[in-house]
Parts: sequence; C-alpha cells; structure tokens
Amino acid sequence: MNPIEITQLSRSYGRVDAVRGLDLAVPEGSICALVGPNGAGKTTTLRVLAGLLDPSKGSACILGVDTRRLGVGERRRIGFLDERQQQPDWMTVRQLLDYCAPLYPAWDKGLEVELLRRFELPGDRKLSQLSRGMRMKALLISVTAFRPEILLLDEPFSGFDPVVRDDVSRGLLDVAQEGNCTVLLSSHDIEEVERVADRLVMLELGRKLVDEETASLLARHRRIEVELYEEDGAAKGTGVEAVEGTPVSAGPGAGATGGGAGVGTTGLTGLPSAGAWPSHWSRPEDSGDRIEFVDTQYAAESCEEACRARYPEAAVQERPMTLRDIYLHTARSAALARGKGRAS
Amino acid sequence: MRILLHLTLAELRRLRWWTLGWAVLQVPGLVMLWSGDDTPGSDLSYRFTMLQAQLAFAWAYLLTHEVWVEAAPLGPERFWKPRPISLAQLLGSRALALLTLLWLIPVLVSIPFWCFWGLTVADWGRALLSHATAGAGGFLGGLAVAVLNPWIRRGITRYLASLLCLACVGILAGFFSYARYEWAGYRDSPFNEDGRLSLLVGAWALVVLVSVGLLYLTRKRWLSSLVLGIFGAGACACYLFLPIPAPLLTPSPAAESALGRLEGFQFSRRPGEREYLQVDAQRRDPAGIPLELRADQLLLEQGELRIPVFCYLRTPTQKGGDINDVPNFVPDASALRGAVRVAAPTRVEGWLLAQDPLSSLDPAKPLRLTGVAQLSRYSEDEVILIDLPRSYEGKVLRRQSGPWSISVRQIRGDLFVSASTRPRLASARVPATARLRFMDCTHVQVSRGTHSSGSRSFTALGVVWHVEQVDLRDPRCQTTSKLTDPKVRLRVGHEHGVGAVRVDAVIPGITMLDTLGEGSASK
Repeated sequence: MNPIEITQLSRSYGRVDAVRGLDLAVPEGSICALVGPNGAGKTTTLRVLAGLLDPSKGSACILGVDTRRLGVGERRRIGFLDERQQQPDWMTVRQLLDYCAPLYPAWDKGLEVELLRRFELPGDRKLSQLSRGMRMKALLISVTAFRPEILLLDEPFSGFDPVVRDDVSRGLLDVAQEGNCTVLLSSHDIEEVERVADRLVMLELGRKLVDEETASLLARHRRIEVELYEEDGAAKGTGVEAVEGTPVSAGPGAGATGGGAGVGTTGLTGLPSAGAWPSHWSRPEDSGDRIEFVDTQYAAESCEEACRARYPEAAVQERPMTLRDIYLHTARSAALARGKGRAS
Repeated sequence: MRILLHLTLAELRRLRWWTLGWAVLQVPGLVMLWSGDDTPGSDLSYRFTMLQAQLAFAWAYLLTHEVWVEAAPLGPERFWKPRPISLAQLLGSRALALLTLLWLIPVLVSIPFWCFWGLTVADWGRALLSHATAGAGGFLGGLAVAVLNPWIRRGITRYLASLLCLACVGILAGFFSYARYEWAGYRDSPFNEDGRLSLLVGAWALVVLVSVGLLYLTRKRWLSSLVLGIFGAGACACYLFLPIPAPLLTPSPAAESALGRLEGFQFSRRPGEREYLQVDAQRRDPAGIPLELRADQLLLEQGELRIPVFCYLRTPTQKGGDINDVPNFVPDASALRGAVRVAAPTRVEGWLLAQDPLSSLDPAKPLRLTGVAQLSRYSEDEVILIDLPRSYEGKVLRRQSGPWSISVRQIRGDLFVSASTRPRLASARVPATARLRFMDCTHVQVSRGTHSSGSRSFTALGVVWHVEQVDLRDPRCQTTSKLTDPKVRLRVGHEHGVGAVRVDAVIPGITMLDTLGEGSASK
C-alpha cells in the first residue's frame, strides 16, 4: 500500500474548485513533486494530506489513515512544512527545536545537531530575526529531525537564493534517502524539482496533467529539429502554416491526459498527409528551413524512421529536454487545448 | 500530561513579560492593604482595592486576548495543527496557562502576605475565591470579545489597553502622591483631593487619544509612542517635583461664619506671613452642639509649631448627617524648644504628629503639655469627652530616626501619652503585623477582650477585615505582663481573629499607648 493515496479528491472554497477529482498515489520512499501554475491546487492538496483541510469529495489517505481522522500517532510520523504556517516567532531556533523535540518520540538529537551545523544556523537567534532562507532551514530541521515517514513540503525552495536552495535540497535529499522517507513537495522551482524529485505530478486548475517518474518523463520527451534542404543544398521552405499545437499525450503511467485530438491539423504543406502526423509530435514550429516539434513519446529509432518517411532529404536532430522545458511545453499545450476547446 | 506541561511552560515562557508585569502589579494592592492609611474601610483603601480589581480584570482580559485571539487555536495555518498536538492538549495547555497567570501568580504573590497576616483557612478560601473571581471575570470578558468581529475586537482591546496604561499611571501616581504627602507631614494622604493627579490622569487620557489619532493618520507607531513617552516622562517629572501645597490655609468665609455663631468660641486673626485662626475654646458650647476639633498636622513655620485643626460641626437636627467641614483652622500652638504649648478646648483628645520639632527637642528637658488640640469621635453617635489637666510635664522621648507621633489621652483621670516611631501604627488600623520597638520600656500592658467601643470593617481579597477598638476603661480587658524583650510583635487580626489586643508600653516618665487592633500578641 502506498503511504500517500488520493482518490477522486475534490476540494472547494465556496464556489471555487481548487482541486477536482484528483487521483494520486505516491510510492514509499519516493520524492514526488507537485508542479503547476498558481491556483493549480498544489497547496490545497498538501493541506488536505496534512489534515489541515477536509476534502469536499473523495478521500485522501496518508499512512493508511484517512486524513480526516489523523491522530497524534500519525502526526508523529508526518512532517509538514509550509512557510505560511504560523510559527512561534518569539522563539529562538534552539527553543523551537527544544519545543518540538518532546512532541516526537523519534526525535533524533544527533540529526538535529548535524542539520544545525550543516545549515549554519544561529541557535540563539529568534525566528523573527532570521532571514527567509534561514527561517526555512530552521523549519526544515523542525520537520525532519524526527525522521518522518512522510514529508509534505509546500514551496520549500520558493524565493530563495541558489545557495539556500542548494542547502535545502541537499538536506532534503539526505533526510529522504537516509530515512526512506516519502516526500511530497510542491514547487515552482523546476530546476530544484528535477534535481530532487524522482516523480513529477503536474496540476492545472485542480486537475492532473502528468503523473510520471521524472526519469521516464525526461526520457520520453525530445525536441526534434528537422532541417530541410533544396537539392542544391539550399534551404527549402517547409511551408508550415498556421501551426497549432496538439494536445499533450500522456506518457506511460499517466492517470489523466490533456485529452483532445488535433492530429493531422498541422497544416504542414509538402507533407505526405496531415493525417499522418503522429499524435505525440506536438507544437511544431516553422522557422523557414527548419521544423521543430516535441516528441512526447520519443524513441530514437521510430522517431528517425518517421522523420525520414516524411522528410527524406532533411537532417533530423533530437535534443533532450529539461524538466523545465517539458513543464512549459505541457502547460502551454494544455492552455492551447483549453483555448481551442472553448472556441469550439 | 508531559506534553500538556511542556506546552503550558512554553506558553508561559511566551508570556513571560506579561507574567512578570502581572506579578508586580499584585504587590501595590497588597502593600496598601498592609500599610495603608489609618482608617480601615476608608476611601483610600476602597479606591485602591477597586483600582486593583479593575486592573486585575483588564489584565485578565488582555491575557485572555493574547492567549486566545493573537495565538488562536483554530485555523489551518496554526502552528500546532500539523504537529502531533491534539486539540484537547492545546486547549488544556492554554487553560492551564491562563489559570496559572490569572490565579496562581496572584495567589503566589499574596501568600507571604496572607501568612504574615495570619489568615485562617476559611479566609484563605475566600481570598483564593476572590482571586479566581477577578481572573474569571477578565477571562470571560476576553473570551466574549474574542468571538466578535475583528475590528470591534481590536477597538475594544486598544481601549482596554489604554485604560490599563491609565490605571498603571494612576496607581503609580497615587503611591507617589501618598508617599510625598506623608513625608511632608500629612497624616492622611490627600490623594483623593490631589487635583493635580486628576489633571494628570485627564491629560494622560487626552494624550492617549492624540497618540491613537496620530497612529491612525500617520501609520507611524514610533511617532505615537514618542508622543506618549515624552508626555509621560514630562508629566511624571512635573508631578514629582511640583511643591506640595501647605496644609495651612485660611478658613473660608463660610466656615468662619459658621464658627462665629458658636457661643464660647472666640476667633481672632493674627497677622503674619501666613494667616491663621486662633481658637479659644475655654468654655463649652451651652447649646450642647456636638463639636469636634481635630488637629491633624503639626507644621513648623517661622519657628512656631502650628496645628491645623479640622473642625467638624454638627447640629442636633443634623446628627449623624451633614457635617460642615471647616478645614485648616489653626489654633495657637507654639513653643518649639523645651515645651509644646497648645491652647485647646476642654474636651479634646488628640494626636500631635511631629517630625522635625521633636527631633530638635532636648531629651533632658521636660516636655510640657498644656492641652491637646483634638477631640476625637469614636463612633458616629458617641463623642468621648476627656478633660485634660491644665498642664502635664514629662520627659521627652529619646530621639529616633524617622517621624514621631505623640498621642495624649486622659482615661479615668490618668493622662496617657502615646508615642511611636511610626505614626500610622499608632492608630487602630490595618490588618497587618506590626513590629514595634519600644524604647526604654519597663513593661507592656496587654489587654484582651471583646468589649469594644467601636468597630469598623472593610472587605478586601474577599475577607472582611474587622478592626475593633478596645475600651481600656473596661477593667475586664486588662492584663499586665513584664516586658523582657523590647521587641513586641503584634499580629493584627481580622474577622476570625482571637480578639482585640491593646498594648500599652510604660516608659519611665512617659506612658506609651498604642492600639493596633485585634489579634494576638506575643513578646
């Protein structure tokens, strides 16, 4: 059984649906990142999981317990970090840790000392006198020093300088790896997510777009560039007109997709047939003598073959994508699909 | 339980400055109760008791606000919510913290006083309940306000906070006023009549309003704080360094006229740097109108010892009712060196309070008293008339540091002169333990009995303090014991005390008489 399981979770604030029918399962020991634009429902999902909010519909279970019935016993195994959470700012760092320690029987004093040393935190300074980065580090210690089985982190990297981000992510990785901790975090910082997360869930408007292991996501996304040449070696126009992106197709393991067709609507002239444009080639861009698109189901051989079949004279290059590129591509594709859906 | 205590201690640590301030604020009221003015149940005691009660209420409210509103337990963003703290533990810790702050701290501060006063178990219960009631009132008030709209809540809280500041200023100023006037020789602090205090309090309220207005208009907290600070410091300095008005004043025309209608009294005005009236009350008022002449102060002025007399007149039709107060009526009282001469009416008993005059007296020379300028009233309906001899001679007490008081009474033909280094202790007052050092005493006479010529009671801390005055004319009350230890410890009791105690210390050449109220006495 997965330590975090969400089934058809919906959460509304009045008439606003923050989360809509979300299904999510986070395997034990994994570091899962929730990414998405503002208002996607990341924080709400985490707060529901932490038991701070009750689901409007569906259910969320953590450590096998419905989050509406989380007790002291379960909370001792869960760490929750949210910068917006009220903190005892009148306490010094040391006092905060001393305050938290008795609450958790598994509090590891050695780990606390180690993290304090690593983060170079002044123990005698009040939380209210700390910079944002130092404050986040202090809070991170307070939710990791008891070696939680589940760690829920809301925007742990946001707004920090690279050094702090690096410190926090390193500390997070160490804690997760040493304690076989399952981590679910939300972030806008895709670079850090790529670095720490082994699973990525993209949310948009409360719905899930992508739910996949990071490595798989990176492996199946490629940016393909097709260089078109005249017979004499000069570049040949592709005649790509009015290109519109296709909706994202989900990769393996996806629970939900952007949906929608769009295959064959590329408008590429000179191609054998618009209908033959694969559905996983999305968002082609024409720059005159070059066609670029994203292959969301990249496989080297089949991609090469498909390109050769369509552009026998062209030079085909594939470039790996970063998680940031994938995120942007997916988000924009989804936005386009949504706009198209509204227009139709 | 361990977690509960852990959370409670953290809460108390968070509120440590509140706790300290709260504890400190308990002390003045207790001290007032212990060594307040001479008259139990007096206006001053009452005012301070009420002031402290109001202060306790306001403080309890603010503490409740701090614990329940500022760090509200409800809401998803609260610190405790994702932590392994149950709601029961949280509420329990908050309740325990409030109980400690509102009830336990005042009780702990009071316990030494209660032990010192010798309260009985029943009185302890009442006092504990009294503290609990004050705390609960503030707590419920705070809780009620906590559920209000945030704007209203904030407004009420600011108002109460200002009120609390005001009360603090008032209580401090009251103490200063009390101390200053007592130091200046007043027997009763004119705290209630100190117009400058009222002015100060009023001005303070005005400045608080201005400060709040500035805060609202400029949104600059430092500016409003600066205004408050400057005014506060200036006001305190002005109040402290302004000279105290002399208690000697010329009588108002109305008072003079009222006195002039009395037969047997002649008034004359004597020119001088300061005008005063001389009382010649050798003859008794034939109409039998109850008359009280009371000398409250001795003041040294231009080498003369003067006794301002407060004259209370009561007509038969106004018996026990309207009293025409003719204040600051000065009889002839003169002669510093060697003798004190007081021209006095025939029916008098009184206190002569002196500070500098006695210190300048030569102990080797006899003290000559020709009268006493006070006729005291033991109860509302009874005026004790004492005939004094024309003169009395005795030795002057040895000089000691601090203010002296001399009391002259004539009881059953004997003249008693009372002296004390603490004038306040010489009257029947205070639920407190008095520690007196009798100089040159040969023996102490202790009187116990239930027969009293007058009693007064007042309530503080939920305990009815009852002070009786024992009439030494009752022979059943008298016992005599040899004083071997010059330090006589007197415990003044209260409603459930063992009875009244009167201690007479006989000094060679002069008799010291002190009435300290009821209770037990030991050597």
